Amino acid sequence: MRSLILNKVARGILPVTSMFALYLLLRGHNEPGGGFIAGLVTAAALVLHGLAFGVQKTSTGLGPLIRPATPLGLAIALGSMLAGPMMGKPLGTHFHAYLSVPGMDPVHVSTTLAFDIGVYLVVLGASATALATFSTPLPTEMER
Amino acid sequence: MLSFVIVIIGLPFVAAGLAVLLPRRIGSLVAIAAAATVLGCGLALWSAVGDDQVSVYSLSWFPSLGIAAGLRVDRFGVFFVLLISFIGLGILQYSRAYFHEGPSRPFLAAMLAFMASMCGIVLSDSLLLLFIFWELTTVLSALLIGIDHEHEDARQGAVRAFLVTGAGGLALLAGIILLGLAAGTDSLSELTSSVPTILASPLHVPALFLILIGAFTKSAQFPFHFWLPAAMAAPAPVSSYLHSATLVKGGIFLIARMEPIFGTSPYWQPTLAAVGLATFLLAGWSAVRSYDLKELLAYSTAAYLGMLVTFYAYAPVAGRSGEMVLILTHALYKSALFLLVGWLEKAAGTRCLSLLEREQWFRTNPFEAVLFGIGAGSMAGIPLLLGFLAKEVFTRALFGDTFPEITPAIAVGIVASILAVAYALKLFVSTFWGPLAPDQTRASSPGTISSWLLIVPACFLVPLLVGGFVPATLAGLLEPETSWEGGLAIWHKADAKFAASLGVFASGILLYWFWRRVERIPNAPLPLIVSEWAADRLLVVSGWLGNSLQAGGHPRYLGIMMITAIVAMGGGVVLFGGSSAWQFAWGDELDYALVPTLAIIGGAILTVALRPRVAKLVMMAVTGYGLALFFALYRAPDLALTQILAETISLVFLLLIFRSLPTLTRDSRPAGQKFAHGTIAVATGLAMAALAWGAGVYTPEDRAGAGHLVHSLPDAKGRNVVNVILVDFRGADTLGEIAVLAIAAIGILALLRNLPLAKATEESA
Repeated sequence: MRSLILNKVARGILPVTSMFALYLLLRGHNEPGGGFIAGLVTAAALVLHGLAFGVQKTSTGLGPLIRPATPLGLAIALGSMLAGPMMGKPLGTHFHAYLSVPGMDPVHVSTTLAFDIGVYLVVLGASATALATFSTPLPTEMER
Repeated sequence: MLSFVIVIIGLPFVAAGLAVLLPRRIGSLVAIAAAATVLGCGLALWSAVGDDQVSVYSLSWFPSLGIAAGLRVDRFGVFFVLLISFIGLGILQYSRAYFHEGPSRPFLAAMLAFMASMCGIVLSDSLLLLFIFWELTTVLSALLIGIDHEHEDARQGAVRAFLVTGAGGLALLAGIILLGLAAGTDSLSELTSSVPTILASPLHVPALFLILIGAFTKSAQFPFHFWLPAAMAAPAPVSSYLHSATLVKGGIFLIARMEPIFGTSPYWQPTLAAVGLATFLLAGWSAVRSYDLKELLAYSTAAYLGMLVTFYAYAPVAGRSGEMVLILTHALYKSALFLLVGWLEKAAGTRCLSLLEREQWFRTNPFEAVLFGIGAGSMAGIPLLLGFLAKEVFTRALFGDTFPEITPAIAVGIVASILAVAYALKLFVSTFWGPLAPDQTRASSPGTISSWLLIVPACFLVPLLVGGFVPATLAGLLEPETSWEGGLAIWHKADAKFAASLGVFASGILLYWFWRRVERIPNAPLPLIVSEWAADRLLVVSGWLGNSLQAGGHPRYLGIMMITAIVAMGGGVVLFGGSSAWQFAWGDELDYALVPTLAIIGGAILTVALRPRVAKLVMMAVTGYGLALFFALYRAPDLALTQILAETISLVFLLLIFRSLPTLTRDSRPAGQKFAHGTIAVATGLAMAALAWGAGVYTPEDRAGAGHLVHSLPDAKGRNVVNVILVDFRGADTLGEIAVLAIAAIGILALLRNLPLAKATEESA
């Protein structure tokens, strides 16, 4: 499975895909993209990394980073839904603000983005869990 | 005041989270601090609420559905908060001494979350909010009962409690919805002011019965009582907490909350009186014949709860004065007795009366015997203890202020009271007096038993003694507005009621003496046997149903799912599709579709035709990428992107899994099975195609998408409608979906890794 070409390509692709996922995540509210797709893109990058360097290496290297993603993502998404009740509005009300940055268009920040980041983290965490679990050989009792 | 309420409900939940993360010793201290804070907040609220004063705080929840999360502070609710937190605090301290290495983290977390949910029930004004806390107590109580999950008994007890109270919870939800339809609100404070409207509505009868089923299951009333004795597999602190002050009192609390609404309904009194008295009598009989001390206590709990239900049956006529004395008395003595039985299990090595009644424990443990005696005395209702006054409150509700002619209800009440005296005597006398010297070898060595196991129950028993001596002061403290002629007092006058209570004591003593002489376990009452048999049958049938649906084979699961989908989709198309929609036309813009269509069809055919697994997978991927191309051509870039990514990742995952599977050999299915599988597959495809076609040609009058398009940019500040729907318009759905995703990830881990869950199933299989 290990090949030099795959190795080199994967090494270069991982940061690029991660940036692309971030781009999809941030622009998702207005253009095609969003947390779900961004999560899948990152998961695809992880799969590639796992194929190139071995899943063992991926889990030891990136595992500690990704392991808390699922609960953290759920908490962030839930927290962004709770912003409404805290401001005296119904559950799930979202808030928007425009920050003015010199030399740029106003930057749109909102609780919907927080929600989307939550979705992103859960999708990433769940797929990483599946990847790590599926790729290790199954226990011998299960083979029977 | 609202901040106190939020602390009372929120703090134990936070502490439960901490208890999971912190080391056990520190976690148990945090738990105690949280319970003490809740108690403090409860006391602060108690001093702030006046007579008949109700403060309602309405928080916006789902305004589009007219649902608000209303909280409510009144004396009755705060009384329960005090009870829940006081008993909870004592039991947390007890459990620190009871468990070998201190309480485990799951125990602490479940106890605290349970405490918070109970406080949520008693402080809810909105019935839907109450229902959510109610369900939480159902789940958490099952976890607590099954906390020793390595024991078969504990698991079975937990499952029974969960099934019964969970089913009751569903009935309660239906009842709340019907009540909401009848009254147009689910807020308790608004419901009590629209009683005539509710009673005039035909919906009030099913609403009342469904809500009562919820209350009866929770409070272990006949015929739903059987989960209570089964729940006794739980450790002593859990039984003590669930079955004295909290879980089972939830049903009584609900009945008390419903009394102002349904009290004048013609069905209220007969239903409650019949169920309450039946439970009082039947559970009392079962308690007398129990030889396991915890079982005796469990049945006596059900009996006392039956008495409380009867009390509320007559409350619309006789008034509710004294209700808190009734509830407080039971909570205190029952929790103390359960904790003392926990001590006895350690000190005597058993809680079985057939062993204990042969042994003389009084001489070695006189102090503990006195504690038992105070508890048992309250149970029997002897004078100078609070139990006596509780009995007085009950007889007053049943008899009225004068002694009328003897009705069947009064007769049953008296007989049940005689049984109560008999099982209280059994609990006290049979445990401590016997001819032989105690067998000390069963016990754990005396030095290892912490004195907290006696201090905590003693603390619970003190108010019973004090209250028994100064009843008027206690009643004034609990219910300042209470007033009836004479009030609560140790001595009124020698009248017929006095004669009746003397008669009850005499008969109870005689009955106990008679049973000691006969030395034969009396038969269980027939209605109990029948209802328990019915419950067992129900479990067998549901087990059979579950096994036939969950046969453990993938083809069967898929088949069931697909048939369901065919029925749902085909039914939808047939019912709503209409006939005029079936027109065929080929527009110019469909020319592009040829390439992806051919890819999809070809991929599907080859998936079936090709033999090796990997080839099948690749062909499936061709189908999926064809679909993505389709989306891309017809202006759905989000869908196309998602489809490509999902297809790629699932392809890799499937390849990874298929490495572990044996290579496919010849298809060994019998011809009939092959045919059935093929039929199901083709039918599913046809139904799916019909649905897709129908969705394409169907033109509804009111397109949901149109509204979304209009509101997307101005209201949700987003140009990508798909994303706005996901994160904003349908955000709650998405939250549910990612929660499912997270659960699926846990499921993968549990099934394929050596998590304890997977291990346990393998061992039991």
